[in-house]
Amino acid sequence: MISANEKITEIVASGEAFSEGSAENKDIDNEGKLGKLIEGTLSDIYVRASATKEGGILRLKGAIDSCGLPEGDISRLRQESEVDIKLGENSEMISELVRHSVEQISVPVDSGESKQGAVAAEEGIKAGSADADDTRGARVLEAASRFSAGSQKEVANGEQFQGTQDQGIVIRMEDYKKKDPDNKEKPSEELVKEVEKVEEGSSERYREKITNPEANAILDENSERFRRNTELFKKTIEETAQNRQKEVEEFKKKLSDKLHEICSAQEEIQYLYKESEKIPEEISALGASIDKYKADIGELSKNIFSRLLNRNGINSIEKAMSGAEEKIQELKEKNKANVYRRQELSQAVESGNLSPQNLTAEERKALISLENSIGKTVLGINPATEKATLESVEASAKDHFFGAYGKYGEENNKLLRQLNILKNELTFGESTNSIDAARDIEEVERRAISQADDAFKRALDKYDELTYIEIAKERKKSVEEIKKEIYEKERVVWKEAYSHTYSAMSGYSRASLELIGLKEADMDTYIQIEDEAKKLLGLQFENTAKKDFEYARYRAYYEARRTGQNIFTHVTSGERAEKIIKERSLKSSKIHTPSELRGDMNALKKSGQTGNIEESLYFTSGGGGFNYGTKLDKYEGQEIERDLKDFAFFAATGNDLLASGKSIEVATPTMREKGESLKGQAVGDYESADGTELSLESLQLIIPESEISRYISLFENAGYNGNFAKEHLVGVPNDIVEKALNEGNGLFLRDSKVLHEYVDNQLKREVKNRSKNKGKIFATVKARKSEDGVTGRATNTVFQWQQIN
Amino acid sequence: MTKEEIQEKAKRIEIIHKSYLDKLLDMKKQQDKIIEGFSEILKNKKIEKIKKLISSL
Repeated sequence: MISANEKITEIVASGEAFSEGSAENKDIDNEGKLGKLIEGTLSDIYVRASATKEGGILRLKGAIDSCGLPEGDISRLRQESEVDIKLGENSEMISELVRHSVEQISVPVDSGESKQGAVAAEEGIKAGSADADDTRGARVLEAASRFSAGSQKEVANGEQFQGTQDQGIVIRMEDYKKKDPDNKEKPSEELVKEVEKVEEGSSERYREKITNPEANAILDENSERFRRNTELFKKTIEETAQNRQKEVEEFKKKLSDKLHEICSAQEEIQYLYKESEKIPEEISALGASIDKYKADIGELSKNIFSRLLNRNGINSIEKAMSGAEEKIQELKEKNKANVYRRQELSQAVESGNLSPQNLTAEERKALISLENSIGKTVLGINPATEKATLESVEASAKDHFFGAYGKYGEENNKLLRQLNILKNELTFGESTNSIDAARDIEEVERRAISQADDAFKRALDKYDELTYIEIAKERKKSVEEIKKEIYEKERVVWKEAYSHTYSAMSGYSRASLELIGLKEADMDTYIQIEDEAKKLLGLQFENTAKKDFEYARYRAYYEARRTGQNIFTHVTSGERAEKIIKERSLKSSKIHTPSELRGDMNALKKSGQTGNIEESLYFTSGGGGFNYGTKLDKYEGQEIERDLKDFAFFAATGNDLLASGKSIEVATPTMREKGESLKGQAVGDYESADGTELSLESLQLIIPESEISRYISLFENAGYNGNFAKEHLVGVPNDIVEKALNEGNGLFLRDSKVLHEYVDNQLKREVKNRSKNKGKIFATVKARKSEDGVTGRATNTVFQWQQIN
Repeated sequence: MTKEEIQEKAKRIEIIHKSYLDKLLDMKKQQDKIIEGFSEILKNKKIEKIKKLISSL
């Protein structure tokens, strides 16, 4: 008997009833009505789906309750017939239909109310419950909740449809994405606009700065080399893609063949199922015949007495009955055989015995998943589902062969490394070809980015108060505003420059000539090839944008200018300065590492060093900071304080050093120490034999104003003319000296605030103004690979700068 | 949204809803078929049991 509840659900599901917001509504002419329609339709969808499902559960329950069979029999029949699995799948299909329909209907419309309803409905599907104040949305939500809760109830009340979860054989690309943490901080929109404004209409602006033919020749050569290597890379990646495509086809074919094999087996099983289902019917029919025959016997027996002598009639009935019994027996045997055959085939499918034994483990795994998937849709194999399964196989095969964690993950990484080397070569030239950074790009990038903040802070430190004041004056803003602007800009630019520069840690790439002179066409070519590689390899990663190159180029040009304008100082003493003037140059000497010197100053003396590191070329790196101390002084724990006569240091702009043929490393003690400790070679080996000798022509000597006449004499005695002394001597005003001496009770303090202020605000300007290389711009063109002694990682050391204008 | 856009959207919803109803009905039929099949199995089992009972009498 059909229950009242079941009756209702049938009516609802049959489409006879439709609540408010019916799709029949023809007068939808405003957003409010549209919202109401959406609400009503969504609600209707949920109600009907729930009713259909619940109706199914009730009918199943009714059939079970009414049959009066023992629980054990029912349980076995449920299992054998797979009725729960079939109903579960049907239920899943209904859920999917609901989801799909709701999604389609919930495409946002610009109506607040309807939108809320749609959103609430979507949330309802996801969560099964939610809070919503919106009345309409709440009503839809309620229906959605009921629907969702109904689905949950199916599972909870023991009348569940026992559908299985499709595990699938897809190797998901999300896994690759997870491995590719893209945490690069993106520049703010405002900054992007600002940079765009600067760059607007001047895409070749930086190239225009490069007027030196030698620099342009380097760029042309680099561009040509990039084009050649690009062609090679394209060829490699195309061949790789072709090979993989071939393998994918083979893989697909194997799986497809297996699919057909399984389909055939399943069809046979189905046929046997159907055949076996007929047997009870036949038995039943025969049973009915027997009953009829028995009835006939009864009827005939009535006539026996009247036909006592007619034995033929009785024989006929006995014969007929005997035939029926034989037929029953025959059908029973047939049924038994069918059951055995069915079990045999099912076991064969389940155990995978139908698979050829020559399949690989991976293919077999994929096949098992596929079989499971097919097992789920055992009743529904038709051209449509087969197509979908084949598509799934193809997608899986692609992931399998192209995915980062698939069969060719390592090969993909190799190609990506090549791609990155290509990018490096484009932006930093030939010298980076051999960088082993490509060996572990992710690690290098991570380190570079993590160091960006530190480098950025150091970069900001290089701005002196005077620079800020000058910029503020020029832009008609307050110093504080300028500081904030520069801070924001620097922060992002550093991040950008570092994240796109694997060799950024060396400091070399930041002023790359190749990057400054990057051709638009080459930039486009790279972006295009990156995109092609991405598609061919089937990998997901963020493409390099043109803007990325532009940021890095902006950074490089900025760095080149700033390096040239920086002030480098070499702190010495009056006595050493006199010696240097006599020798007409500042020379380096063997420098021992701190570990070599530990507890053994004799080694230092033997090598010609006198215990004072100042005799060698030692400039504070990069910033023009005033520093009496040296690394060795610090190591020995000595505080160096000097009297008036001992106050002397040399200074030069970056351009002065570069114009004299030296690299900036000459002024960077840490670099020198690194090179020496690793190679056991004297400092300066990166340059030529006389590379560590710096002519006084490039230097300014800073001394107390009161000492000027004495130093003029020293210069004259060394053969310099009067003008040279005038052009190369900078006197610290007496009042500054006095203040500094007062600050240290008669001695210059190592960290004298008075002197620092003087150096920052006046001396730097003076040294810059006196420089004969003010307008020049130098950029890096070559570096040499060396190894970081601490990490063992390859790094670059610059050994050549090129004037670009 | 313009009136035309709203009507267009409403029309689309009607189509989606109609399609939903058709598909849901198919699925319900499929569900009924499954349950009917199972009911038949139960019925046959019941007949079988009865026949056994009869034959044992």
